Amino acid sequence: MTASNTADLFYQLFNTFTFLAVIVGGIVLGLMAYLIVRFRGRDGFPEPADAPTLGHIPPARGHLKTVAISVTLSAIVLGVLIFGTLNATEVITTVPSECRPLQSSPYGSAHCAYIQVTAFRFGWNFTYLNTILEGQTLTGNLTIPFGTNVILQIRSMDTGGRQGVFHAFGVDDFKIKKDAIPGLTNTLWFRATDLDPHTIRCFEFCGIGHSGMTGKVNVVQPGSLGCSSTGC
Amino acid sequence: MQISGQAAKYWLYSTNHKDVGVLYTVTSLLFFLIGGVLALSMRAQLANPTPGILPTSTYNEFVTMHGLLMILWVLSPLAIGLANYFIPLQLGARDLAFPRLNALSYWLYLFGGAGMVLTFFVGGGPNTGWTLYNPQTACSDPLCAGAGLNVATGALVLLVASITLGSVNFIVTMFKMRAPGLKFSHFSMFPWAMLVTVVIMSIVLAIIGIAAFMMLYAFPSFLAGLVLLFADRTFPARLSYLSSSQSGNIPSLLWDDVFWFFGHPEVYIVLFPAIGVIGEILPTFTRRPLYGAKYVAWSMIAAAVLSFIVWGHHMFITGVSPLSTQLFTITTIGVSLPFDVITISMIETLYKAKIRMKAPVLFAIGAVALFVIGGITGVFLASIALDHQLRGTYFVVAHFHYIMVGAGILALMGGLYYWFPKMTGRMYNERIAKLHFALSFIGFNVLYFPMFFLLEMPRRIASYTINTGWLPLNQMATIGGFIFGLAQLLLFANLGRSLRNGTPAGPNPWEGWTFEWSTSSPPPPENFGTIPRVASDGTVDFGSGHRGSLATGLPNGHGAHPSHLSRWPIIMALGAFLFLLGLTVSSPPPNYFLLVPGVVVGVWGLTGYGREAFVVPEGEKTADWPFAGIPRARLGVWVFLASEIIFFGVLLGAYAFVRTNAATWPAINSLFEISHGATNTFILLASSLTAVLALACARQGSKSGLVASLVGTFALGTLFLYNKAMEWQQLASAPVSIFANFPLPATTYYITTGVHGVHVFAGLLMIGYLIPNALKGKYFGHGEETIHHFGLYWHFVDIVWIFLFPLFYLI
Repeated sequence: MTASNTADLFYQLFNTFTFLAVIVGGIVLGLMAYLIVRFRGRDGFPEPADAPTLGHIPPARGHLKTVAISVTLSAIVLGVLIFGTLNATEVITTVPSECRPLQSSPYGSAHCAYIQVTAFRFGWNFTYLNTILEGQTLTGNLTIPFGTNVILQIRSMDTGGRQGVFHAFGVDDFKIKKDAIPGLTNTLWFRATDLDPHTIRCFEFCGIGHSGMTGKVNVVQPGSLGCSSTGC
Repeated sequence: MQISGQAAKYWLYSTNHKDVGVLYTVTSLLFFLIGGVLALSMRAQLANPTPGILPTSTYNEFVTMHGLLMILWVLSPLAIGLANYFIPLQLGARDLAFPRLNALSYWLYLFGGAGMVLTFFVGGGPNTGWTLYNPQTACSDPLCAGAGLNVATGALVLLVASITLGSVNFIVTMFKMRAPGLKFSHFSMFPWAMLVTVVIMSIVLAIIGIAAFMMLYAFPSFLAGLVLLFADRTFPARLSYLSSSQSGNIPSLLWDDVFWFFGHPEVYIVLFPAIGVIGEILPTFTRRPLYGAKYVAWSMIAAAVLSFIVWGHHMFITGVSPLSTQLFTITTIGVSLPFDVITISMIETLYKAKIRMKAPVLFAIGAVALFVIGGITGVFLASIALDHQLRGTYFVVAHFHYIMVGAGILALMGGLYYWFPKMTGRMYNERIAKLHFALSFIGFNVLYFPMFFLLEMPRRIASYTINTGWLPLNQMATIGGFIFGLAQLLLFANLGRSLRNGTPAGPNPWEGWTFEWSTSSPPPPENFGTIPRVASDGTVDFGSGHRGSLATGLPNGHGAHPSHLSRWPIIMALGAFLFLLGLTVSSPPPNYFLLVPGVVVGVWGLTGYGREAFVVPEGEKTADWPFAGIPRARLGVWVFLASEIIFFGVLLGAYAFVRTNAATWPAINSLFEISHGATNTFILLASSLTAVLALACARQGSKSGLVASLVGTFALGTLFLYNKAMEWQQLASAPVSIFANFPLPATTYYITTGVHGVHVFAGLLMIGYLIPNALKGKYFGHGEETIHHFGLYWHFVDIVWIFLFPLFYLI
């Protein structure tokens, strides 16, 4: 059981890639191993007719057909991977329609949970734009409702006159990550599917506190945040 | 080997490609040791994360320096060392096109490396990761790198200069100095790979030069601009996932884009020579021609071209437009196709072969196997969706080490073993070499394969808690790291001892076909008695001037013995080193105790270089399609100017990036007065006219005309710089100072026109050198080529201004 819908999606795609990787890699490396053993030089075996000889430019060797076949096969495999990638990417980078802002409601028709994440050196601030925590800024701990869409707006800002630097907000268990770039707001969305706590880490080197720049995601029943099963 | 005064002087002054090749190879192996010690320290730390053995700040320096040193001071230079030694031999040439420039390339590389090591001792090495991301590198508070980073950027500038000169040298050599009858289609894989590599290098290194330069001076100002703009802006409440036009993302992503536009082709620069070496070793040890050599060659070109349109895969989660990420994911996944062709061809070569299992081919085959794993995992990272998890984790670290170390280093080590007998006349010890291979291969996989499973562990962390569960895999990796690292000692011991005690090697111990195997081991100074000739049926005539002996007189038509020693390259490099150190080591800059001697030594070196009577034989016939009739030096100037086009292109691209992302910009003619710009435009155009006149006078043999035109060009150039200086001063000191009120226009303007101005100044220095010689009547007949070269440079600088003028003054 994975921790979020995005994790599910990730594993589906990752497992496809891994499956194909093991097959292709296995065939290629296996072929190599076979050829090395089969054609290792043994005394008494004659030199091949086109062996390199000083004083001669070697003759051409190889068939365009072989090249064409291997390129075509590869292209088919790669095409599958591109297709899967574009589909999965579309889902994880597109905020669901019911959460997209409207004239009447900045949090979408379903009033999805919106939280601003501000990365700083070296921690995470969470400003709740809605839910009962609206207006509050808490550090280190992110509380989100179980089972409904959560939209995170990722930014980077240092305080005390220091220029903010790149960070990257990532939650391993949700298999989702986005850079925090000074001056930019990046958006991330997902839906938690378990009630366990999860670790937030920084995935873009940001200085001396990078290793310890962690946080926690607490997943609670929607009611505790003043949300329902459809929205906040 | 005796180290006498003579020997030392010989190594300091030699310009022979074989000596320079040895210098590069040995030096790169030295940096390999340094980079390796840094790596093992990090591995030791990660196997003992708490309480740990390295302070975090030290760890951060180590991880940064490990990357910079390995990529820029080990991998490419090792390839360049082998290329230096063997490309001329494989082409049937006696040396590279410009031997002194070649030596200069080496010394710049060495001094740059010295600068890098020096950073540890002057304020700490750079500690931002090898990618040197802005804004981290731009900040000036105590949490950021101090003088160390500045010195590093100076060192990078030296390295870029080294590689730029080297690329020009190799390109001219490959196009102008092939043996008669040797077509590109006859090339073995190493020269071909190096040709593709140096072409990419000459394009791309200009960019890292800009990047280094930008780091030194541009970004602090950008930073100021960003802060000002940012203060005026309210945080956008609307969602930004669909668009990259979000305001305020100006400087940070600019660095990201510029760096990776260089960075991705750079890793191909690192990889292609290794592919070339594999392509050399396989035919010799399988006793068959390389399968599909033609297709491999075309695939390398395809991959090189594609390498310029994949860089966005380093920026998938930065918030750039979805369309650009989609395009980049397709191109990145697609670039594996040419590599498929290359890999399959190499494997097919083994079919119906008779493989002689010696160290070189073990390393080559091992490299191919590891390349397969590295390449497949690269496809994972090419997927935007998967990158949302894998970015910034150890999965990435594993992937690129499989390519760079697994394919790159292993292949180059195979090359070292392969060519050691030729370079030294001795065989290495085969059993120890095989042991070296086995331990390296096993150690490597124990080190890096576990990292694929650490896809939740962030990169560049100095420590982690035990409850992450990452410890066992890290410990395994550390064990592998020490096995791999200690195994390399076998390489040094083996080659070191074999230098003295190895079995003497004949000219062709491996029964190879490429031209270097026709010479003695090591080859004589001029390489060949007579240059080989390739007949149309593919047979090669190595002539009667045989392997061991050297024909007594060289058929260069002048009877003059070619020069080999020159003191000026090392002196010029030293001057450049002191100068850049003077600019970067003190805060605030400059440090005059280094700067002034640097200028003095540099100018002394340049003058000596120019006045030295250095003989490079050019009389022998060569294959030179498609540049028949173009003198080597002129081709060199063209190639150099081509890389300058990229340099200015990226600089102007950066300006365009800033401009299109800036919310406001001063109105036309309000800040930069058109009349100033127009006047300077006319002045430069007139100076191009006088430069054309100078060439015409040289051709007609009119000394007074030549000198007058040169003086006129000098005067106009000086007038241009004077006007510019006045304009600069006016802008800076006006009641409404440009810096305070228009920081982004200020920065882009001063940097761009400043770089251009430095080019104009360099042109003036050139004229300063030309005029006295013109007075002595030096530029008639053949000498007019020098005026022609100067003209090419000067016109180029003027054309750049023709672009600058409208971009800054008219829009």
